[in-house]
Amino acid sequence: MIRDDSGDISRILASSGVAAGDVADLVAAETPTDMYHAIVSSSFDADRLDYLLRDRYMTGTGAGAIDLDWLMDNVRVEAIDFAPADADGADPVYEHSFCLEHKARDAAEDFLLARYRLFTNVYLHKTTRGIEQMVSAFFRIIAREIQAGGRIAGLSDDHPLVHFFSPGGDVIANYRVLDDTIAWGALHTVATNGSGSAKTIAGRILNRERPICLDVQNTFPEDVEGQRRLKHALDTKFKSELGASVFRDVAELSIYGEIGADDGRAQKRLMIRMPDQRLKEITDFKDATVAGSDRKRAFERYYFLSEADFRIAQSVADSVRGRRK
Amino acid sequence: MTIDVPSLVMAAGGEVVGKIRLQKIIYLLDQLGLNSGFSYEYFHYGPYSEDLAETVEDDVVFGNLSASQRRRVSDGVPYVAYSATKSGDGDTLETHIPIGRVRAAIDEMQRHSATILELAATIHWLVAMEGVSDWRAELVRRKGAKTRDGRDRKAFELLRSLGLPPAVGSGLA
Repeated sequence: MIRDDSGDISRILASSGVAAGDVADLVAAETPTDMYHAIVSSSFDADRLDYLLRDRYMTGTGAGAIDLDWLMDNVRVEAIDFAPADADGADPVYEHSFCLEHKARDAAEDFLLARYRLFTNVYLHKTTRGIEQMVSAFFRIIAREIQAGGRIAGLSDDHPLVHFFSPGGDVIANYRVLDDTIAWGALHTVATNGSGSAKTIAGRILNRERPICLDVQNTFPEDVEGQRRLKHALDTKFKSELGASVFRDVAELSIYGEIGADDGRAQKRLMIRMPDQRLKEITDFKDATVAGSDRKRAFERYYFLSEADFRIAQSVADSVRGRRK
Repeated sequence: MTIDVPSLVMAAGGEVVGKIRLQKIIYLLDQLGLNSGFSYEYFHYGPYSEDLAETVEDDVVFGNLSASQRRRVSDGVPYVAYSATKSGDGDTLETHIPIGRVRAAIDEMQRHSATILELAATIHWLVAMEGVSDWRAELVRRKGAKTRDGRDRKAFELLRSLGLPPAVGSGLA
């Protein structure tokens, strides 16, 4: 999108004397290449500082306050080792990035906890994720149908979504027109004139009819084996419904945020500069109130479009519980 | 069915340090014909298998693998070390490739840092999976500072010693 010469982004950047390719490279880089990368992706990047304040305000959650002024007063630049942590740290990869002075350690812990609470209370909330499951299912269903050469009742052949999901249609020009107006319009049209699962799901999204949630961790708190048995039993019971009318949602969270792929990104770790100028990862303090990033909290839920399926799932959970006693 | 990860850890001398190292060792072994049964996608540290990550977690929960939490001495960054003393219930390693070849390849990989393994796996992925012709430029673009100080060359040499493209066989070196 940034590199695309025919798009607005490259034109706006060019008008400010910035090459779009340089910005794209900065965003795409997986490992910091210079100090500017820290503003785009680091423990203290511009995006985090923005959404921590904005999302807390807009959602109205009481959790997750941060002392932004004190943090900004104490942010510093240091050469940080971005190599994957290894047995001896014998192959360090240093690049400049942000760290915080030791006197801001408490504020830094609050900063991490604030992000953690926004994830538990907002981004990974069962309602948020449930709606996301339905939106994903809607697009998945119509993409599959169009890819197979079929037609979506309610969507004309020249609808932007049909263009994008058609074989060979996933190009920037088709993607660029898929804004929220197109998506909401498609939901309205399919909910009114469509058929099958796509019509059902579109209608539920429009009418804010949430799917019914069975939370694995809440059903078997602190019982990993019970959770495993429940997931196995539900996957078996709803094998043919999964992805269509029953959705399985899995996410993991650490103090550094949502976990994806191999490990937490090295540049997302929050480093504290000690009075002797050494750097220390914030969870490494003996009296740290934030736990190490190896401690993960799982969020596993099953979402049901039908009340009848949810009741069956509850009976499956009761059965697993009975066998565990 | 997938290969037995505890057996692979034992073949590596009983311990593999770091999730990234374990992921990249198995990815590169798969390119040598291990046929682990795991599937890969490209993520932040190069080729990554979610199936493998889940299998490792299950092996830890069921006691087939031991996961020890440690911290880097220089700055306290945490990492995990996996160890095994007995095999689990996965497929044996030598189903598709001689065990001697597996051990020799692991020994070679264990002589390098996790960063070199990440770069080697990424170079292979860029050429073999994404069909990137100028993989050197793309590697620098994605991996930045990690490619400096001769690490990109060391990663390429590792692929050569393992007999993998683009260092061997593809004509793209």
